[in-house]
Amino acid sequence: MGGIFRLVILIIVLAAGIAGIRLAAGRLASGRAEKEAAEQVSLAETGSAAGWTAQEKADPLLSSSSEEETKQDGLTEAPEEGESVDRQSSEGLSAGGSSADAGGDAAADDGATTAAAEAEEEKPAFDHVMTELENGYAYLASLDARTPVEMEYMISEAQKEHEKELEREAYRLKREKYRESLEGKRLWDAFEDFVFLGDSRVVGFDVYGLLPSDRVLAEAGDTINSITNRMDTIKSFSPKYIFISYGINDIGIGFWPTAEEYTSAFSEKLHELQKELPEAEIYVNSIIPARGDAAQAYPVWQGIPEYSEAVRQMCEREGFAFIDNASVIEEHMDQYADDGVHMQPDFYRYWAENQLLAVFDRKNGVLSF
Amino acid sequence: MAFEKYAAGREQNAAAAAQGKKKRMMDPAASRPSRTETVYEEDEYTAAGGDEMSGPEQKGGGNGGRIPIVLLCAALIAAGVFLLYKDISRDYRHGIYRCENGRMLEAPAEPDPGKTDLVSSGVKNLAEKFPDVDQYMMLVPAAACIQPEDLPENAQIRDQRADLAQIRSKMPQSLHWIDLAETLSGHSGENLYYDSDIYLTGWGSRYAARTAMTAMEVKIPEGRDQCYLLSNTLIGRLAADRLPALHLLDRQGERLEIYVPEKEAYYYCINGRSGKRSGSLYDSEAAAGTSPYNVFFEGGKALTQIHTTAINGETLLVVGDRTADSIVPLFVSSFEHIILMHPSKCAKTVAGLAREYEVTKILYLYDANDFMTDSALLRALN
Repeated sequence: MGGIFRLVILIIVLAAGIAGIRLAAGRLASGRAEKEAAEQVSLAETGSAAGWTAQEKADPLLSSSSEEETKQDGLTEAPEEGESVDRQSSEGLSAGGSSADAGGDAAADDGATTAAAEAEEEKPAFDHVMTELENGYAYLASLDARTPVEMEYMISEAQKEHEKELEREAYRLKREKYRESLEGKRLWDAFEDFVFLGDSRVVGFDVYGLLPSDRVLAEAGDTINSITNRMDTIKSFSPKYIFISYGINDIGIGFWPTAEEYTSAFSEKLHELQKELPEAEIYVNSIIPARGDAAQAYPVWQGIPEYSEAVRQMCEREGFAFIDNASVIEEHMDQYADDGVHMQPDFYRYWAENQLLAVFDRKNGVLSF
Repeated sequence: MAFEKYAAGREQNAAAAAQGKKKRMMDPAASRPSRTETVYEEDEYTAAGGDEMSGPEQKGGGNGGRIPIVLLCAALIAAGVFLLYKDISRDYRHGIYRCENGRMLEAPAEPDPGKTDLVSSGVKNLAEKFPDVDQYMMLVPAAACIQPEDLPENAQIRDQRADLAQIRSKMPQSLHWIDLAETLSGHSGENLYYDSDIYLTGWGSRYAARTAMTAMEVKIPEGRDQCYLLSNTLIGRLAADRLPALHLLDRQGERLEIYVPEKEAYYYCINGRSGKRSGSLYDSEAAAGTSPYNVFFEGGKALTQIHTTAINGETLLVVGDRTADSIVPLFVSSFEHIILMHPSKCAKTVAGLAREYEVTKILYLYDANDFMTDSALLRALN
């Protein structure tokens, strides 16, 4: 009797096992087909296939509409490989689904044929997954290859750069505070013990009554050669600050046909000046470009940015302070006179402010800001 | 050497994937016998039974007394099959719903008001001790709460969003609540959670991380995020409840992906217990193993320090469960230091860590169900 009971239990277990497996197979086949279909849709939607990146379909947190647009892009403009994977996978899935459904009805031979066809169709999708896995493992390997010592070095470098950035930021704030202090009438009072050398553009400081006439050593048509010509006058003031702004005539007359030749000659003049007045601080302005009809009439002036950049490099190389007026000009383009060369009276205030900021920068050890 | 391990792992994955594919391909012919086969087996059984029964007849000229036993056996077999089928067919077992599409969803747990009060009190005490430290709480809602459309028809689950709202109302004002449920609900049609686990997928984790970073007002990495597939054989812990036969037949598993910012900061991490340093937050061997989710922080360490090149003076202490493991890697480009603490494994207290590492922000990052049932956080807070 005990033997029969054990036999019954065994049969129950075996039967239950077989039935369970078959039931599970049936349920899982349909469940898995649905799940894989959902996965394929997800694959296309999340754009993870074929190396698509998450934000190639836009940042969903930033813009849901753009996400939808890019999702559509991902589906319509996906790489051919992605499209082929998507298409073949879905074909494979439908075949898999039908074969799973027909599994109970069809003969074994039919099932085998379907399976073979399915295998053929699913191969590219399988290869694609393998490529994705290889990329994933390669990424992990690249992280494993990093040593903590290397990372510590990177962090210490980042800390140094961060400290420099903090210093720069602190200086920017300090400079801005100084600029604000220049607002109002005190701006012209701030010029002390100086001379201003230059061409017709600099003459404006005198003509518009902004700076003392005797300290503005400039005339229309002047070039860097005027430095030598005016040396005695300059020396007579023994100025602490010398502001220089030439270039428009220097380039216009074509005496220095290349930027290199010009900066070479300019450098000589600056050193000559420094030699005569060793205590003076020399500030060289960037060349204010010509615009409009003037630039059209004299194509040579179109080379002003190139000359100006060469002057900047020369100043950095030779240790002279360089005043970059580009941002001031850009901000006040409406201040050009009709001739496209000279400036309107209001511009001189901004220009003068830039000279004083350059002095401030130099006092703080910054040659050009 | 490491690459060889990956290669081996890759082959393992490939083999597993191939096995899954092969099984599926061969199902109609081999794994799932056709009805014809079934009939044949039944015929064979009947024939065998006939032989067996005819044996004694031949020997003893018949034994009518055995017929009831055979009937009884048949009845028992039928009962066994019926019970098994009933068991398999159940769509709810041990707090887990099995959905029509094969997905498994954990039912939202009931919050313990007493525990919530204690957590609230702990957070409040901490705020008093560290007034300059911002505290945030982000609970990851259960998938059933965000994607209820997948639940079986008659499933009745708790309104976890209401539970979360109640927890939020009990927390002190000093705590910044991060409403992830709202973010995820806006993307409920996307692949946010694993089908067989409670955790967020790589895509869901990305949403969570960005929601948290926005709330914490730290810089979100610029540029594109690159997606990497680390495994396609993930079978989550919710699937552990299934019968072994089902488990074996469903070996193919899910995709485990991670998203990495294009301009990710450099970093290294230190295991708080062993002091071991590493240039990676991921365990590449685990990616190719049987539990791919362990790829994050080698399966979750008690305490991990992460130091990055995102120099901004911010030190984040993340107090969380394993849900946090897939989200924290996305923070490395936004914090100079990150301390990840698992209270269930770490004996230290939140206050102690806040003091030791001079943290500027604390983030409580839990799966909502874990938060409601786990008491380790209470110990760490109080």
